[in-house]
Amino acid sequence: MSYIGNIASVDTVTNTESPELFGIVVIGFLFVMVVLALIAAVTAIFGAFFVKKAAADLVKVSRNLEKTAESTKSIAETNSQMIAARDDKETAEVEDPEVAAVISAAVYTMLKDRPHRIVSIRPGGPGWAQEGRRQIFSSHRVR
Amino acid sequence: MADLLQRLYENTGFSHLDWRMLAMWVVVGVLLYLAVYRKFEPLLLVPIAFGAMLANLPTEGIINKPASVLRSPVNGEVVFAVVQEGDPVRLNAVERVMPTTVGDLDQEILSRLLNGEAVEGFGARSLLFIVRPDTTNETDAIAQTSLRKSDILVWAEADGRVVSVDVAIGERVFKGEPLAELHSEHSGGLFHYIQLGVILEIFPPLIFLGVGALTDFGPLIANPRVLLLGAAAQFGVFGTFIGAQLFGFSAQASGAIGIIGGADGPTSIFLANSLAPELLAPIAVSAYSYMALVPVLQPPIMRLLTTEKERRIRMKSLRPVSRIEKLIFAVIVTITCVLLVPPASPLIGMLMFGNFLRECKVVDRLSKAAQNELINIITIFLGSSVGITMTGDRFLRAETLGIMVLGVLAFCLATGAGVIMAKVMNAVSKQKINPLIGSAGVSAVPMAARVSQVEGQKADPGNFLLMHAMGPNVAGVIGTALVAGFFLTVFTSGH
Repeated sequence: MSYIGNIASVDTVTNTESPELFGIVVIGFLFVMVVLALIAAVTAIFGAFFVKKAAADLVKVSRNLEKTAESTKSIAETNSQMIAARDDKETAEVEDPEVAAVISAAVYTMLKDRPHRIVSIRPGGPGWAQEGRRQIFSSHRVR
Repeated sequence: MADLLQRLYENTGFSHLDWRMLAMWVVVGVLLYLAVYRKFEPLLLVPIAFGAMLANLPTEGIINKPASVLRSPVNGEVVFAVVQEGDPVRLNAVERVMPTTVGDLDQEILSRLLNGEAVEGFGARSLLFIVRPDTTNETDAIAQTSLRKSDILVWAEADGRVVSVDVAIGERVFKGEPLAELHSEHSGGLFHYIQLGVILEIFPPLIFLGVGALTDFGPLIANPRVLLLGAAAQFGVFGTFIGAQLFGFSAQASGAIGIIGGADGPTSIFLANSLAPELLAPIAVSAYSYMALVPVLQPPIMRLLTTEKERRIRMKSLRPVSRIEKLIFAVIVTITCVLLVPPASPLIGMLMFGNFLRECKVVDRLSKAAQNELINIITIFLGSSVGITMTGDRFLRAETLGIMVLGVLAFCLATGAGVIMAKVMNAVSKQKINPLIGSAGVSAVPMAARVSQVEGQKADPGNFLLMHAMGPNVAGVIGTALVAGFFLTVFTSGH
C-alpha cells in the first residue's frame, strides 16, 4: 500500500516531459481509428475469401446432390418395378422423388465427400410404431 | 481500575476509528446495496465492497508489508537520514496516505518529523530518509533549510527495527538501490501478497485471458466495419482525458481517468496501476460502478441522438463464421496490435490467447478453465485488492469526486460518439446500420449490447439487434486496450 503511494508520486514527478494535450488527443484518437480500420479491412478481405469459398462449396454440394438424386431416381424406378410385384403400397412410397431426394441428402450429410452410390432404397422393417412397442415391452422384465 | 479500562480500550479497535472510516462504511453500504439488491455488476462490486469494508476497519495483519530492504524511489542524492542502526520504526495501526514530498509539509511538522517525534494527523509512521531527485529545481528551495519542495520523503514500510543503514547523507543513490534494511517479527499480511497481482500487473491480463475465452468474435468477423464503432467510442476516453486536464490532474492521471470511458474494468486497473497508482481505487470503483449503470446512463443519450425511424432500422442477418476464420482473426489481431502498440501486448495477447483456446476446439479443458475457474478466482482477488485500497483518507478526497464526475462524462461521450459514428457510416454507405448498436462500442460486454437490444425492441418489437451489437461491443474491448497501450507509450518509457 505504501509502496503504491510512494512510487505513484515519484513517477508523476519525474515524468515531466509530456507531449502537448491537443497532439495526444488528435494523434491518439486517429491512431486507434486507423488501427481498427486496418484490422477491419484485413478481416473483410479474408472474410470475402471465405464467403467466396463457402459459395463455391455450396455450388459443389448442390451439383453432387443433383447427381445423387438423379442416380437415386433411376435406382428407385428400377426398385419400384421389383417391389411393385410384392407390395404396391410400399412402391408408391419409394417412387416419390421427394423421398428419394431426402434420403439422398441424408446419406450425403452423413458421408460428406466420401465417395458413395445409392443402389437401392427399400422400406425398412415393419414400421416405427411396431418398433416402439417392441422397445417398450422389452424394457421391462416381468417378475 | 480506570487505568486498566483505559488500556483495554486502547487495545480494542475502537480507539483507531475515525470519521473517514465511518464515512466509508456508508460508501461500502451503498456498493453492497447496488450489488446485492439491485444486482449491478455483483461479481465485482461485492468483492470490492467487502475489501473496502476491511480497509476501513482497524484490522491487524491483513495488509501490512513484511519488513525488508527499503529502497530509493528515485535516482538522486540522500539529503537527510533520520534513523540509525537499531532504531525502532513504526507504521500506523490504520493505513494512511502519507505526504510524498517535502513541499507537502509545513516547516514545523517537518522539523518535528526530522526529530523523530510523532505528529498528530500523521500517526506513528516513521520518516526515515529524504532523497533529492535528479530532476529537482533550485527554485524549489525552502527558506532557512537545505531542503527543497520536490525532495522525496521515504517512510517506514513495516513495523520493526532498523538492521542496517546502507547510505549516508550526501551519497548518490539510484532508483531501487537499498537505503536500509528493516527487520520485523511479523510476516506480511494476506492482502499484501494478493495485491502483488495488481501491482505487478498480473491480474488484469489474466482476466483478459478469461474474457477472450468467453468472447465470440463471430459477429465482429461477419461484419468487420463495426470495428469503427468500437474505435469511435474511444472518443469518450480522449474527451475525458481533456476534461481531467481541465480539472487539474497530471497528464498521466488524466490518461488513467480517461480510460474509464472505455468501460473496461481490467484495462482501467491496468493503466491506473501504471500511470497513477494513487488513484487506482477511485478509478476502479468509478469504472465498475458506471459499467453497472450502463442501462441507466446510455438510453437517454441513445434516444436523444437518434430518430424513431433510425431506431427501427433492421439489419441484415449475419453470415455464419467458420472456425478457421475465427482462428485467423485471433492471430491477425494479436500480430497487428502487438506490432503497432507493444505496451498493449499483455492485454491484447492474453485476450486473443484466451479466444484462440476457445475457438481451436482441441483444448476444451483449458478453455473451460479460463472461462470459469481462472476468471472467477482472479475476479475475487482483483475485486478485493481494489477494495482494500479504498481507505478513507485515500478515497474521501475532492479528486475522487472529480473522478466520479469525469467517469459519467466518459461514459456519455463514448456512448454518443459510437451512435454518431453509426449515423455517419449510414450517410456514406448503402448497407444501413441501426445507430443504436453504436453505443455498444463502449466495452461493458455484454451489458451495452443488451441495452442496444432493449432500446431497439422498444422502437420495433420484432427487431433483434443483440448479435449485431456484440460486434462493436467486442471491438470496444480491443479499442480500449489499444488506447491503454497508446497512453503507456506516450507517458512511460516502458518497463
